[in-house]
Amino acid sequence: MPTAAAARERLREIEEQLDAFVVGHGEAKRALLLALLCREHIYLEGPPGAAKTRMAEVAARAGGLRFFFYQLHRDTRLAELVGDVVLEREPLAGGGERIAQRTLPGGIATAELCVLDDISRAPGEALNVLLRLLQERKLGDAPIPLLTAIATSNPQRDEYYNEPLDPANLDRFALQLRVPGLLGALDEAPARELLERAAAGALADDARARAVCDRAALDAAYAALAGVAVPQAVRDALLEVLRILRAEYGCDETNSLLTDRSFLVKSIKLLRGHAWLAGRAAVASADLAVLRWMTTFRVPEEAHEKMDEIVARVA
Amino acid sequence: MPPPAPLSRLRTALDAAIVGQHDAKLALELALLAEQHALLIGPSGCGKSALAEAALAASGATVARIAFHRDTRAAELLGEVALVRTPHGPGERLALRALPGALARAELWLLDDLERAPGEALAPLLRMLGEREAPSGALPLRSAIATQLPRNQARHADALEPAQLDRFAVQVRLRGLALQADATLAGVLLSRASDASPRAEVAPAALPAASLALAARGVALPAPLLAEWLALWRRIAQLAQAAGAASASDRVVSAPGLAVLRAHAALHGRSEAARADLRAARFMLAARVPEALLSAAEQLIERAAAGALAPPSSTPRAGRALSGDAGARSASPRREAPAAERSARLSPIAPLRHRPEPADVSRLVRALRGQLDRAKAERAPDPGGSPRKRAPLRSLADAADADTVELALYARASWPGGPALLRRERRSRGGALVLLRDISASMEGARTRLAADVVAGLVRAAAKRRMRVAYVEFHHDAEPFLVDGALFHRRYRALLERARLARAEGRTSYEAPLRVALEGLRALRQRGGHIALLTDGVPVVGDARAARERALARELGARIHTVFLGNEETPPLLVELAEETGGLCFRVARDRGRSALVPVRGPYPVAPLRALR
Repeated sequence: MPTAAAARERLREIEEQLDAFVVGHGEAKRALLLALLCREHIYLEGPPGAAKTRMAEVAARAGGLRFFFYQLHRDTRLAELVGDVVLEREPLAGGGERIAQRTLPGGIATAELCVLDDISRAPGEALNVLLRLLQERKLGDAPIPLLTAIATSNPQRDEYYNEPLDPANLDRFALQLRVPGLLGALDEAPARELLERAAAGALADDARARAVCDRAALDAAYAALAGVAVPQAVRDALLEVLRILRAEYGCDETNSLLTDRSFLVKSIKLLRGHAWLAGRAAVASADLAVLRWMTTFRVPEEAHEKMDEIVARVA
Repeated sequence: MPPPAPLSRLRTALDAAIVGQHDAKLALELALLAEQHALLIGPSGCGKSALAEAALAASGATVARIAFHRDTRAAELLGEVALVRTPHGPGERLALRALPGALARAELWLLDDLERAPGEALAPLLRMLGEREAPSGALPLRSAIATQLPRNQARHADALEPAQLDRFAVQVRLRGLALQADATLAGVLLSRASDASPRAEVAPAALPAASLALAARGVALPAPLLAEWLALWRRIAQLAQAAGAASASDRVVSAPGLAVLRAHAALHGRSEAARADLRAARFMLAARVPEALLSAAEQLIERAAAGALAPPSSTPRAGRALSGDAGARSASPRREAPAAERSARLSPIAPLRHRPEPADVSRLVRALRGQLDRAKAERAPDPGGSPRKRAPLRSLADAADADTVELALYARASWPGGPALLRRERRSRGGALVLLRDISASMEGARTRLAADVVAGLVRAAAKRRMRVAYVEFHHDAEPFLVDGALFHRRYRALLERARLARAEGRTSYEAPLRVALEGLRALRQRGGHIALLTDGVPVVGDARAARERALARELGARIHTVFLGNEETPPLLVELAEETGGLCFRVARDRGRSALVPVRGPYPVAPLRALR
């Protein structure tokens, strides 16, 4: 098994690959890395052409995992996601036959990492099974090797077909980010860099990202997470963030999804991951910044926009 | 450097096929040169497909054509669907595989009637357009040319989303010659059509598509021009964003956009792109900027091409960048940019020193609730809709809607359950509410505020039910508030903002607003819409009884609810209008110091105030 330091180096190389293919979007890149490291699912929502899919694909390839890319569409069949149907026919004594239907695991069921492009387009029935699969990491009773799912979607608008994922489904994705376009951003520099690199042909385009990392390194990194200390002060600060969201921003069951699973269990793992990536042996209050990658669609927008402030207050 | 010879042959072929449509021809040339995809949006019969066909024929490249229809399936686009059956243990493994079809071999694709495809079947196709790669491997695709009807003509399909159209870097709108002010071209077309002598066939130029593109690739892009290109697109994005529309994406402005920019230079014989080539942006706007803003965007481009475009004037609000991510969830306030001359007359309702209680519209809303709820907007079965659900086949009569592959399979070897039936549904077939607000000169001061309150109450009630709403202000004429050119929409916030602006002028007519409302409901092709008519007087212009409109309302099953804002007795006409169409009639009255709407008379029992708590 590689050492933790070596593993960290490999993860940084994933980030370098992302930079080679995509200009800007530093936060999304970091969050992708965190998702790979912590084995959590991540959801990226943004306007068309903001490089969501490209980032997801590059991260998937660079991670060196067995991965499955699927573009969801309205006709998506379950079989395409989880594997072909096997019909077993068996003659019965006395005439007739028994026909049974099974699934031969494939697709998501055999991948370590999957990219689900345009997830909001899938029909409800496929989506339900899909999201349960992500949550339980089980197909039927059999565990599947899935570590991380990266889903992308366009923002929903009334007049179009896609529908917002319901909040419970969104909760399956521990990390959730908006990926805004560079063109309209306040800071012109990234858009300019994008254009300059595109004009010079210096933006890796159809070339494939190299697999710079591998399962062994990710395993080593994941194992190292357990060794990152979470001081009492940070735990208190996390609770304080939740208190502020409740008391000052009116977050409650009706408008928010501040679930125990996400904010008391997974958040700790993400905090550790964030600290570990920065090379720290213990979580610091600065790591609480990861919370804003969790609240995007879990709290009302007004509250989410203040997350940086809230975290700064408790830190 | 003169324009490459193959290009002039291409132009000859296009001119021979179609009269006029200069922009569309240029767009096609740009697309072929830039090796980008093109989208032609235009009414039927304006020559979209003919033009595309001519370009394809002249290019001499291998071509694949798809004519879309409502049942187009993703698998069809990729190739033929093959059912692969392989023995597996005691049974067999069934798998649907897409065999590489014509698309896998063609350099140019013609995607005809794109809007007919169920939007979602296109997702994989559009990914192939972007990546030029199919599941079976790399594609030799150079350009795809798609044709599409404008949105108001495309009734049978779900609207394509900006994400889907973004793959077409080049996009232009065509207009029929017959409807253009300048009849010269229409005349040419007429004389050509009446010319008996056979037209000279233009031989396929058989020019390798690659030779077209080669010239464009070498065009140099000076750095200052890049900065101007970026500034231009940022301005266009700002323009679209202000109107709440999607706009250009990072993707299209970068690599594909620069390819179009280079192609524009090559087309004009330049080996280095110049400022004039910023005009290439004109051919990238059609579906990225709402139609109403096209001319404003084109002015921006002209100014940029003349070197007169100042850097972006106002920066977007901090924290909320200009990107299209202000989706439904963020529900940022949106406002349709009003026409310049209209905005001059609008003024926000003046704030009062002592803000009175807002008018109580609860009784109106409550009384309407039963009716509105019945029209709750949900997906409803619709033969032209998208397959949303699968249901078991119950009778062979339904086989037409069954999944074809499964049906074929079932015919060979039946299995329990049978083939799945695709249940087609379409959203937004539900309720629709038209708000007609009197803005005649008498609607001043308190009445304006009251009308605004009533509108706001009704819009909120409609928003809860996700009904489509339309808002029409009227005096002697009707002025509908359009969003992206549509009368009905769900931009509740934009509507609320708009309703806060008020003016009072002109005289009252019922005829004009009712006609707009009813024609709008008729165009929705649904029965039982609601119309709320807010007024403070009786019509003094037009047909005082609005007889034709009443007949039309009965025919469409539309209910007209009337709200009289005034201290006098409710005009009998308003009671009649409501009673005749099964609507409700309300009058404003002072109730415990605040304005409230009280039912005048209506076919539905309305609970008295006390009982409503």
